[in-house]
Amino acid sequence: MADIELKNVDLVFPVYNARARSLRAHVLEQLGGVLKPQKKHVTVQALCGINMKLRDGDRVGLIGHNGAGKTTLLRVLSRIYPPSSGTATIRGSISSLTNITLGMDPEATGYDNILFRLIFLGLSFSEAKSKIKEVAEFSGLGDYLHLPLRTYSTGMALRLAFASGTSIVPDILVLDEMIGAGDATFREKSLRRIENTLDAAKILVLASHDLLLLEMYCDQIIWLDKGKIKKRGPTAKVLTAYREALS
Amino acid sequence: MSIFGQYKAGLRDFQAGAKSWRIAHLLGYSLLRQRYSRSRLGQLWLSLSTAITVIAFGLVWSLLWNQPIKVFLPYIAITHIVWGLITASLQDATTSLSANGALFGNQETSFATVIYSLVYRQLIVFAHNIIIIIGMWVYFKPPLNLTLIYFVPGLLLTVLACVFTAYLIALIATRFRDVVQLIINVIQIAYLVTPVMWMPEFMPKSYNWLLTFNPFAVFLSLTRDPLLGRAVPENYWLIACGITLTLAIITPYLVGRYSKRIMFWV
Repeated sequence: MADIELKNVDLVFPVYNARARSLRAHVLEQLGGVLKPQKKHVTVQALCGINMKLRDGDRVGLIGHNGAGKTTLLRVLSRIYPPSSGTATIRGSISSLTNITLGMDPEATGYDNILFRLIFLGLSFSEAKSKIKEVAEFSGLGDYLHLPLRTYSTGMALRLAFASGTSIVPDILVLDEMIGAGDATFREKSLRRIENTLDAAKILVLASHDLLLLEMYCDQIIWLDKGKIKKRGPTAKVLTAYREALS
Repeated sequence: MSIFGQYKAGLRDFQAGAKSWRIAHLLGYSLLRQRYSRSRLGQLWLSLSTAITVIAFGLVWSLLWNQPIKVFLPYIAITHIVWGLITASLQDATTSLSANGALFGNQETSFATVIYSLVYRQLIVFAHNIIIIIGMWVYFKPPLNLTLIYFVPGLLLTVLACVFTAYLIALIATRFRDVVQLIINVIQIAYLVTPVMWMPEFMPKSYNWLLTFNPFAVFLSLTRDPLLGRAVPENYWLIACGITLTLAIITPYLVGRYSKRIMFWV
């Protein structure tokens, strides 16, 4: 079972410049020295009073203009950012297909890279090894998998990353924009595969600017504005309001 | 949160890091693999370049100090290998968290994972250098004896202290970027004031106690001296245990205390 509960979550980013990072400034501050450095560093309030509760089966879309806090919220949901205040309770395994090439090594072969990706996704070596064949087949890269990754084109590397990343179904799937890879034929294949993963995940949170996509995959929408929830509800209703606000 | 609660939260981070040992293994190994991937000799270069360096050092220093090569060269060689094991991970620690920002930003990962990978990498390097140590034994026949067994607890204690120190350095240096340069300088000075290029015997006896205040000298002696058949000064074990214990209290406490903020320093 997977569930997510955010209660009154605030997230404040401290922005460190050279001065705030300087040890001397910090020591002087502690000593109350004559040189009074500015006491507070700049902060950015990225999220403010977020409440949400998600259960198995929820399909949530996140909308809002750039800087509204979508990615930050996704990172709170992925347990990457601890809330500055409020509580975040998140149960279940999480996978965010945000950086799908993480852990790949250009000097290692395609097969090795599949293994690396699966380990970074949290599998054990034996689990990963048993999945390699399926991932390799799906990637359609054939004998290229014996060559080092640096010999691949960008598209081929992406295919490999995509095939590995979508081979595991997490309890909670967090997506910052839809992912896909490859040329026309692979695109179709990859779309079917990601749809399967989306369906199989217990909770889906998808942030996107593509409203049609959200209509397809999400049954509720959270509209973020300046770090606050501006509106939430069934997809059609919120998207209509959003479209009106845009035009 | 109480101080004790913060300490426990810090320990949990160490635990979580241990659970993701597979990622630590891949991270630790990847740099070595990339560095030697297209060279013909590959990872043999690890041992080879160390051998070249330490033999050159040993020859030059034994001439300069007017010491018999038979004693001094193996001393210099093994000392340098152990010195690298101790200090390389500390130096890497300064930038380790920010260098792995992409990892921390993509998935929940304990910071300890990266710290483990640093120390693990140096252990791999050390393992490659064992062949040089054996070479020194075979060629120069240092007066090895049963105290060689003490190498094992010495290494364990050193590795433990390295993990705690590396994490501590990583925390401070990630928050205060000036510390990165500071640490590099501290290690450089430590190289001079620690018996790395010289033997403790070169110091007048009456000043030898100074070395007990140099943690580098203490841990270096613990790991190195058994490998050379030299006796570890008795109080060094006590000092090393004391230092490690202190670090085992301070580091997890700080990790727990700042656990909510570290991510934003990266």
